[in-house]
Amino acid sequence: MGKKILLGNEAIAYGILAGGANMVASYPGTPASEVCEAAMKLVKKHDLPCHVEWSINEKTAVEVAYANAIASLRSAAIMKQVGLNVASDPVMSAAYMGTAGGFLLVVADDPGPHSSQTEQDTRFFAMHAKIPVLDPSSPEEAMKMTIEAFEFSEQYHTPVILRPTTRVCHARQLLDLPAINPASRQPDFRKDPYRWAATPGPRLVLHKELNEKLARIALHEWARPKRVFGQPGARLAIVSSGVAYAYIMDVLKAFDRWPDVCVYKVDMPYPMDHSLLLRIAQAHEKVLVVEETEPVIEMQFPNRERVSGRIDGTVPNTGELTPEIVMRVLDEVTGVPREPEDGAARKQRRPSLCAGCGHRGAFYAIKKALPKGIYTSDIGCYTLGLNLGGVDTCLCMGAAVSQAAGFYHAFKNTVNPPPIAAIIGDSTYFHAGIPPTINALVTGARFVLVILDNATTAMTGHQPTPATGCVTNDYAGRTLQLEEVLRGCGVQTVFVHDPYDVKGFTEITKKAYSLSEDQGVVAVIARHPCIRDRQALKDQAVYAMDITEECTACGYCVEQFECPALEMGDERAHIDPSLCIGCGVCVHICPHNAIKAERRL
Amino acid sequence: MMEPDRTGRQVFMVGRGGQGILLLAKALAELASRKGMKVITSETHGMAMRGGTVTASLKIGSYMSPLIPAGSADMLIGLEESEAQDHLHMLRPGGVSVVNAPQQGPFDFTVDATGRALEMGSPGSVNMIVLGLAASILGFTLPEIRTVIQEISPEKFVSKNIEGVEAGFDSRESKSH
Repeated sequence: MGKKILLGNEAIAYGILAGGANMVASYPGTPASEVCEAAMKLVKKHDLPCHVEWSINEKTAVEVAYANAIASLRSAAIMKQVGLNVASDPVMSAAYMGTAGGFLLVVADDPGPHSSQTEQDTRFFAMHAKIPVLDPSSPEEAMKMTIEAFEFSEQYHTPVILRPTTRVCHARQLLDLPAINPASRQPDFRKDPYRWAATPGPRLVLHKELNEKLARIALHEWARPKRVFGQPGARLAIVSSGVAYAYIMDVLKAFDRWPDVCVYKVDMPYPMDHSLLLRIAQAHEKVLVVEETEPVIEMQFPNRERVSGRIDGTVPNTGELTPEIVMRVLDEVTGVPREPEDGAARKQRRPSLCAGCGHRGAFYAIKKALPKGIYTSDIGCYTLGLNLGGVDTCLCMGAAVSQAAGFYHAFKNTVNPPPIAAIIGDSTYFHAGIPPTINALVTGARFVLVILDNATTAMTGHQPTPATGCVTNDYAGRTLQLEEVLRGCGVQTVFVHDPYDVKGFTEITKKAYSLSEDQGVVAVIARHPCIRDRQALKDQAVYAMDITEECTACGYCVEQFECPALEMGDERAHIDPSLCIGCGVCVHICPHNAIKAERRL
Repeated sequence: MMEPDRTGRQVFMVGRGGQGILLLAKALAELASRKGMKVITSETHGMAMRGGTVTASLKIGSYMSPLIPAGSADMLIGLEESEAQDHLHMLRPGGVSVVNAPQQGPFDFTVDATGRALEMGSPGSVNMIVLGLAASILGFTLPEIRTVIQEISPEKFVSKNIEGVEAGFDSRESKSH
């Protein structure tokens, strides 16, 4: 089918469809988002009999995809590592029950972390859940493993996890495209309540069956570390998996200052053939394990006397591995003297909300309306509201709402309880905000629930939401508006306002707070489309902006509004024309009325 | 610099979120792969893209991993001057920097892409102008670059993007170095 440069995530999507999947379900999250996107495009392009959906959250995605797999078809559920936390309930059980058709979980880890709350290692989770896990080192390998994972899953009747990391997901490589044939299998659900609906008694039997299965899997070729570089009797053996393995190979080829080294590659870090690990530890003077992010392979060595890695601190135990770190570790372990490092600290510019982002006006207005308040927030672009003092907490998906209730109950008996605003995005609200809204209302909590509605899942690259529709490849579907959901949850008053009108939005937020005394939770939907949506941007007014001599260089706009297009000069603030989109909102911020806007379009 | 039989080449790119570094990286990868060379790239997505420092790397040759160790890049491409300055340590001794900057400064090749883009009435073309210059230094021809841009740009931006790469490509000719 020819060659193409593919993003790691696109390569995985090709693998899923070449592997004969009839279903793909996902919730977006960096670094996993593009897998489902690419799968949806391929399914449309090749007109494949495959259902692809953006599910409401990862737990739902896994449950939907699992049903398809126990109906003897092939499924992939895709998420980022923290999404697996959300999905952990069905995943843990699915390991016991096993599967009839192929069931692949693609869970992307984010060592660094670049765009995540944690650096958690899904291979550890796989061990905890007793599910085999594959650790690809490149887009090419990710595609190959994905295709083979479906056969493997059906052979052992087990779910399989593919664990790429950011550097695999977001690498591009020139690849041979695999043949994609429409999956022709028919669904076949064989009723077996002692498996698919097992109560505790039968679960014990399933657990025993699972352990036996894992022992068989540990004899599979994937469970054996393979020597891919160097001599069998080398002094130092490096055992590695994932992209860390690719770093090792590249630095060994580029610099020949580490003689007498061999490399073992691990494809499946769990379960592993422990007798082989023991043999490696006996055959070499030293063993170095290099893996991300936790010592999963290292821990499985039956005897670690000669083994070093993360447990003994040879490899740093936080942060992403880089070629530089790998080189430093190799120097240390082999006793090569190191050149002094250039220790200069590198500046990294912090990310911020885009110039013209509607969220900025909402945060500014909330601070004005509820001064000295507690602002619980959530996961998305709007976490960046912390730059302008509009975000006090960000725990995990949906926690803005539950934490607002928690803070309310913590402070309710104090003399002057602070006003509380829960600030959450539209997609995040659908994902995990609904149960905590009901919980808050029935427990008598009082706060303003601000939903930042930009009509998309912006941070991860503009995936649809239940309110926008088009969440599947083939069904336009009904849409569900936030107002309907909020009212259904029991919220009595729902305001909707454009946060570009900062003054009006401030007034509404104040009103919502006073109403919350009687009504508990009052919702304000801050509705302004994401300005990265080109059509939406076209539809809005554009202003020519100017800062006049009235500017006193007080710095208020830069600190309190924090638009990247606003910069402080010595005598006055400036607007960077290459960043400003002419939204005109900052006009209402300047305490000296020094920012002027003239309507252009 | 770009003969297929030579050993690998590593290009490190840096800019700010929103400047279009991903399209720049993708274009260079396509250019190299169409000459029959193996390529692997790495890019930044997600939270980091919102105005923060964004980096990308392109390795041409038989590499397995996508990241470039500090001090080994053959070329540093900077879409923004101060970011380029902060990442000069990525270059190997003798490596060249290609930067969007109004003045030469510490860099090897510069083009005032921000100024040119504003003149052209498309402030978003900075990445394409710098791409034009970098691709010319890497030995690609204007027709090769045009073909790739045509294929990978969103349809609406094809002509603007081509105008951008042409301006960058020509900027090298007009400057003695």
